[in-house]
Amino acid sequence: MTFVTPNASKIVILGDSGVGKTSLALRFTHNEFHDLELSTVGAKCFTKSVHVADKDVHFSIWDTAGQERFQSLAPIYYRNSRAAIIVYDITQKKSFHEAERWVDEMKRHGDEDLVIALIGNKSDLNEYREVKMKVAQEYALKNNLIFLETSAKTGEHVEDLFMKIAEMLPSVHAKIPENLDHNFGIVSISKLEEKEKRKEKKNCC
Amino acid sequence: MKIKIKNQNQNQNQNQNQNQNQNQNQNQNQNQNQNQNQNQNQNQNQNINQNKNQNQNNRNRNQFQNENVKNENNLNNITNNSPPILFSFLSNQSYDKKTLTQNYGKISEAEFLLPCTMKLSKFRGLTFSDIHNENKIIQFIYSTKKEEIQEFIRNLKKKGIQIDNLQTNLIRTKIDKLKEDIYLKIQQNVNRERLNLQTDEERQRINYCIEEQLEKIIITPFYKTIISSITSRVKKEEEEIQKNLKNLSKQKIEHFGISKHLNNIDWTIPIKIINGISICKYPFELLNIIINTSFSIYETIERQIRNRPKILNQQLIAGDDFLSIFVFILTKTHSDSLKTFEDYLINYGDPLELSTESGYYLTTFCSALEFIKINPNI
Repeated sequence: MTFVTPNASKIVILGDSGVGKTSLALRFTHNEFHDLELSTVGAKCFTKSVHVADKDVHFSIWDTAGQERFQSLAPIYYRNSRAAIIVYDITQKKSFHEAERWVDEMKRHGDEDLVIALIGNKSDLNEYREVKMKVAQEYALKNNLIFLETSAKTGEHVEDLFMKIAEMLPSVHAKIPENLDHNFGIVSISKLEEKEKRKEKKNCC
Repeated sequence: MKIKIKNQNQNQNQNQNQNQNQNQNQNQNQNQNQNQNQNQNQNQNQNINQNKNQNQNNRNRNQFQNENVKNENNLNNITNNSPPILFSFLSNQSYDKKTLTQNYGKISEAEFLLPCTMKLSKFRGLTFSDIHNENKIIQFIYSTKKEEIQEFIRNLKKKGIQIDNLQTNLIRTKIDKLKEDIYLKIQQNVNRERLNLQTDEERQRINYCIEEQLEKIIITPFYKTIISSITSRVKKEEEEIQKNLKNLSKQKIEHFGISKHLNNIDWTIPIKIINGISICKYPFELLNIIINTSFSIYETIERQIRNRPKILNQQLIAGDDFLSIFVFILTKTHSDSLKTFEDYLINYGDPLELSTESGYYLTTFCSALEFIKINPNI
């Protein structure tokens, strides 16, 4: 089809219950954190566009249920996703283990080009931290994931997260940043980059 | 009503252009009552089906005229016999059931639900300001694609439709192809026809209009076959769901895992809307019901907790709550064909919707149904 809305890249947000999935999506799409002034908002499909590599990238961000009893339903949500944001709460170690489980599942069942981001949310609650940043960072590096610690409450690094995802999306064919930005703990090695290398090798032969 | 009668007479007297007359009638019908579009389009489909059996142009012309007269009569009957609830909605008056019952007598659930649903479906851009677009699209379909559609339906009927993946694809692929062709045609005539295609929203509205018209025209002749085939295919799953629904419907809301602050909410309106699923015929109507149910969940929460003391995060409906509420609402439906509807919608609905907000609500519906299927108890 050549018409209707531009092809929005579907991003699914996964993670344990209460880690801040909905708040994260809301912060990015509306630049809001839910407080007493807001009317009722909730889980749904959020949309937003970002401009990266001279292109407008349209996101369709799908919030999901995190409770254990709904876990078997997750494939219905992440089907056809271009990216998965796997969120844990830095003050809840259990939620990090849950995030690891999600990473395994997405690596097994996600598309080959799926971009995966591991996000430690609630960075504003550093004094209650249970998950060390270094541990999460190393795990992300080992698994080729985008990694950031964010705060949906203050907005810290939320925008950066989606910009990084946009850069990594195969559909964007964005040039891989020459120097990966490590300022925010980005340790991802793009699958695109790996693919291009593979292509180059093939061409050489 | 006078205008319609006048045109009816015109149709009887003027045999110059059957398509033009047909379109005129359709346009007028739509302007008078959007809610009767379904009936109207069924009549359009009758026109197509009946025409396929006629080879002579003259006979075709007469047939169209007769059908137009029939359509007018049918429409007159509907508008005369129905309570004016539809018109009350059209004029943006209150559609409160109690008031309407006092004024117009007993109103069936379906008659009450339809305008409620229509009002909520403004989300999808189906407002009455789109009448112009819709008319133009019907014109395009009939002026450019009528014969192609007739031939497609004739061939498919001749083959004897058996609903399997191949046949499913045939119908859906045809609709997609036609949509693209019609859209291109509209693009070429965008200035002449005074259609707006500049923004994504405008393009989306046009897409909805084309989709709806094509679903009505192409699916109608095969509707019964499709539904009966899907019903037999999903029979086992449907039985499982119904069995579990029976158990779950006895459970109290507290057992559904919904956050405590949402437990005292009255979910009557979303339940009424989802029950409208039984009167839907086309995939886009089913999708509308699901979308409107989702929206009414938010509306219900918003309305009922508005006056409560505001507590941090209690206006934020997490994904767990939304899905749990959807499961609870599904346990209150009277339909015994939920799985059939799901299968029908997924296979025959607009694939473009799947990655949009509509797709999210459809996914929630599918997830809730799957949850019910695999969980005999909460």
